[in-house]
Amino acid sequence: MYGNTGKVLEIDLGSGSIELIELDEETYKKYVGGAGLAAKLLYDRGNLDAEPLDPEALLIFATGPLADSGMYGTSRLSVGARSPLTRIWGQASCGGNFAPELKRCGYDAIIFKGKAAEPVYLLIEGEEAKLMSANDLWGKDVYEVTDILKERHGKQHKTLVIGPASENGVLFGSISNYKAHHFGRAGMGTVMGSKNLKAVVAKGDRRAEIADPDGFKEFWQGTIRPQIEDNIFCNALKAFGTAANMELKMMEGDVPTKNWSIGQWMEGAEKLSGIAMADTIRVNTHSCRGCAVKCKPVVRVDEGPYQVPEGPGPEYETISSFGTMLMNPNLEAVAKANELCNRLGMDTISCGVTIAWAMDCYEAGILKPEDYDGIKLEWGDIDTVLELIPKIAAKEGKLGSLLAKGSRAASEEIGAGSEKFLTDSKGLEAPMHDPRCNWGDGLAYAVSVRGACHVSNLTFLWEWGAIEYPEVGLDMFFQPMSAEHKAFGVAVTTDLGCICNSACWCEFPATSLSLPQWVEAFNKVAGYGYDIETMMAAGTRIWLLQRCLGHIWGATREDDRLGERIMTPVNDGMIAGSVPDMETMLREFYELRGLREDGLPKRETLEKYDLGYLAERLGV
Amino acid sequence: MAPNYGTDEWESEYQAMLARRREKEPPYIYFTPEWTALYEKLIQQDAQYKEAAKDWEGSVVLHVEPAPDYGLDIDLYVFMDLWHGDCRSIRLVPPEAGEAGDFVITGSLERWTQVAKKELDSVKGMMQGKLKLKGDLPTIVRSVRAAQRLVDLSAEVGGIFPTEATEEQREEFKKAMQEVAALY
Repeated sequence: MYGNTGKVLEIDLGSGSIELIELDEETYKKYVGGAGLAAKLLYDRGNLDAEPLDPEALLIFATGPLADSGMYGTSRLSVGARSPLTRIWGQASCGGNFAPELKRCGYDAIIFKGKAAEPVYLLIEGEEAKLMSANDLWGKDVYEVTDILKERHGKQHKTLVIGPASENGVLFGSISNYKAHHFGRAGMGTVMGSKNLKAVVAKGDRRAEIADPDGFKEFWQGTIRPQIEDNIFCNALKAFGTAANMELKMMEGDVPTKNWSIGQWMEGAEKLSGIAMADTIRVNTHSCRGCAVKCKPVVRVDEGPYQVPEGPGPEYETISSFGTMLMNPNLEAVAKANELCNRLGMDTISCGVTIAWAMDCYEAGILKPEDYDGIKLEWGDIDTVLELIPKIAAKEGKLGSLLAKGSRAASEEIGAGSEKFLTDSKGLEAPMHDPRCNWGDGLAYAVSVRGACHVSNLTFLWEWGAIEYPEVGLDMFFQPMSAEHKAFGVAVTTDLGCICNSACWCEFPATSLSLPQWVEAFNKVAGYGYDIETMMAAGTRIWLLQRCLGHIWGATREDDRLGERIMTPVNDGMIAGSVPDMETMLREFYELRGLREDGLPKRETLEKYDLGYLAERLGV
Repeated sequence: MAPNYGTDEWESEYQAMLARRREKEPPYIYFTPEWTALYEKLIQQDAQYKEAAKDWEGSVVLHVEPAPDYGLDIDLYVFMDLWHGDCRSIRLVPPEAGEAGDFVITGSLERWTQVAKKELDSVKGMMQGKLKLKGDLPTIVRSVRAAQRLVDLSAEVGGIFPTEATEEQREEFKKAMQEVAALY
């Protein structure tokens, strides 16, 4: 087997048993790896009746087939489980350096089941895996534990660590790889915490085999590498990080501001952008393993109330979540919020957005200080936010406990009209790209398999004009604030997103390549024997499987929608009056995707993609 | 033989050509010297551009690749001398002068027409590889609002697109380009 090892570790944390599972090549070709493989393993081996935080629920880390190829952006790792935040399929991915190391241990994936009687961590050195006591690590923050594990086992050992928030059951707990890289979304850290699993440590000693080493070397060194290094999008990211175009995007109306209630805040964007960061608190840049794009900022704040030691800085999503969303123009304070969330192990999007929702509730008199620990949540009051973040992580007090559930569950608990301020889909707080600016994003969020998400699909890159793939019909002219062509575009970009997430391939370098080059990468490294059609079919298959897991866990057509606030027009800026035509886009999308009116896939759709087994399960 | 670009003689001949060509009333054909003069004036009068580009330093060159089917037999270089919000001049310059610009954006006539018609966003065009940028990208990113304004103004000038010109207009365009080439 090439690219992959065909081997998966299954760890029963309850009994302490460690088993080896072997997979056939066909499974990899059909589900690619990463998020696709994790979904397949969960379906095949999980107890689908388990609640997200039950011991018998599975938590699966999976690498992609390109992980040890050295291609830029392929060192990402996926994690999948039933999400405690959304209660449907949950997946997250992060960059960093863990995936190649796991591959070098000889494993493509790790499945965790059960719950350890006491805190533990998994240590994998070469092929040998063992559970170690984590009693001394429990309660400590992510940065501390990462340092301790590196000190204990060696600097070359790679780590995945959860923080106190996940231990405490905050529903948007994250998992961190070497402090700077985070599986932020959908509460995957919370699942890890529920199993008393504090960390995973790996150190490999071999290389994954490549199907066509000479051909790949020529392809990578001679063609792809210079192509990515010359790509203008990657170069902008290299210069200013993921917030490089924040000002332009604010001008267009793409940056959610004041909990999505106003259309433009140029003054804030100018102070918060990647350019402002490069000119002020950024002291260096950092990359995922071996990537030349180096989009991640390293920041340091030496003076003033928001001091941050040199370390990982906030990226675009965090800058907007703790900046524009809260009407906070102070970049140093955003860096502080980012550091707190990193250390405590919480998703910065869900945390910032839930606080923004709470600010609206406070302003509307729904969250009264006298009922919620005396806390006044006023727009722009970042000091109160910085005090609140640790309270959320500790589920301390009435407000901390409420917000630790995420905005959707919190709103369901307090009612009183608070739902009109929600900005989620399926319980996952929407990321920082406004569907009222690019309508396709609205459809993409609504039909995303894990709830509102812009990286489980590549829709935002398509609507920005960063990608154009004529081989799959993605070269049409379209208007951003229009429903025309969007169902088709979202269907195709969703498949592309599923391929990327399953290959564990960062969309930035990946989209510097043409689709024939994607095919060539899979074939030269992993010998998948793809053509564009079979590769795209794998993307559709993965999306259908992950969506069906959602159906098994109760999601219906009614859940394919956006939070009320996103569907409320703003009065200013370029998006004034714009609201995505969800009805038209959804109707066309269902038809294109072979879904029934109730949102479930038709039997023939499932059979077309070799998913007949799901038809039986869903009764379609 | 044409005088050297950058000399007073060259400028004098350019102005003479421009004066001759401007005897005809607008609308002008895009990328001709007379159209370029209107574009120059529009930028010089635009307060929005002045504000967005107040920190900008350096020349921007729009390089239009040859398109013989539309009457463009030469590499056309629209050289924009921009400094701190001012548009000091726009000239159609010889290739060696154009290539020496601080920022050179290259595209086919069809692509530039799409940009002027706002069917293609210039930033998107660069991301998709339809337009190629030569120059320091971070500097451009810092001034993306100014760049956007320049593109918007090119659409506001109005005129006849060479790709949509009548036979007669195409001949006129071809003749204009021959006059430009005579100064190369």
